[in-house]
Amino acid sequence: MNIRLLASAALAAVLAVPAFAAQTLVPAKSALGFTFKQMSVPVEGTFKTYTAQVSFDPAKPEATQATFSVDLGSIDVGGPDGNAEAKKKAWFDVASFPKATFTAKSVKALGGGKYEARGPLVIKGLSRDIVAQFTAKPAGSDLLLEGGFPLKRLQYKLGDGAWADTETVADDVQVKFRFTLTGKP
Amino acid sequence: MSKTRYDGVQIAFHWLIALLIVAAFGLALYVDDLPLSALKFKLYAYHKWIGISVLALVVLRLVWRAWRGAPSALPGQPAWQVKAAAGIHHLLYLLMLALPLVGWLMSSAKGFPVVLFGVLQLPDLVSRNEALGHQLAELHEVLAYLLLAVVVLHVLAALKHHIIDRDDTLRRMLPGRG
Repeated sequence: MNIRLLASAALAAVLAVPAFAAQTLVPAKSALGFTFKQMSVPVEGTFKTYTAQVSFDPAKPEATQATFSVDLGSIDVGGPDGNAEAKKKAWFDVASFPKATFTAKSVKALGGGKYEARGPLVIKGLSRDIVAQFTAKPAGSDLLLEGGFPLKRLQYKLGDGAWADTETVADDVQVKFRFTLTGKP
Repeated sequence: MSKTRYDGVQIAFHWLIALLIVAAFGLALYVDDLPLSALKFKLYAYHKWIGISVLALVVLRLVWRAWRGAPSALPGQPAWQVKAAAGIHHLLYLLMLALPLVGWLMSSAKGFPVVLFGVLQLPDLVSRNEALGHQLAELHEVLAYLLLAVVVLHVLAALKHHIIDRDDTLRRMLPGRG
């Protein structure tokens, strides 16, 4: 028996499989966006880049383990000026806080194919608990999670200073997601 | 009986619309150079609200004019001046309709629909299209400067009547003294 080979095989196995994360996010079939109101005008935006480590079985939601990480520099609010502004210190301060993370602390079934996830969402170093509702349904061999949650931008100091005026940019932001997971939980 | 003066409603329409056009033009010049800010969003919204108000008021004004008529040119003027004045007036009406309409189209194309006075969301006239939005923005600007030029001619002509000819052309669009 070649001990070295065995050890490296074991190491490779450990590296390949994170603590949980049996499912993989399929970016091409996923979307993460948000809507808010600017002078009462609905505006939509998206994040292009995000990763997830998920183990979610619709039959056993309590056993869910999930963390999401969003690359905030990938924000798109529909134009180069807005995108540049969103990365600045007053908004996401991407230079100091490049990522937002969400960790599911508890997931429960609400019935009718609906679920509710609770946990801390960390943006700009500020952690706030959120409650996201979503549906889970099979899409071919994949699993499609669709849902969203509301957040208050000022709780994360998004839009500090002169931007804090909620008449111009509303405090309420609705986040929407569509995550396609592949693989078994 | 032929009218010698514009009626009170027409006079109100004229000066209110004039005021709104000046305000919208000034706002646009100022906002364009502002860095992206809450103030810029606010002023852009005001500019759009004023523009749509002008559009609505001009439509009402035309309906009123069709119903009540307008005084004909004062007698004893060269035919070319009467024709020029009519041409300028037609151009003014055309631009007062086209400029806000192009602005509305541009808002739709850029994906920022107009929500009038922050309350009434106007329907999108075209679907979102960044390239079209840029073209409409340029057209909006060209039309704005064209309107500026036509307004300057209109004002100069009115002042010429008032100061040089000393006739009643301007006075019949002024409130008061019937």
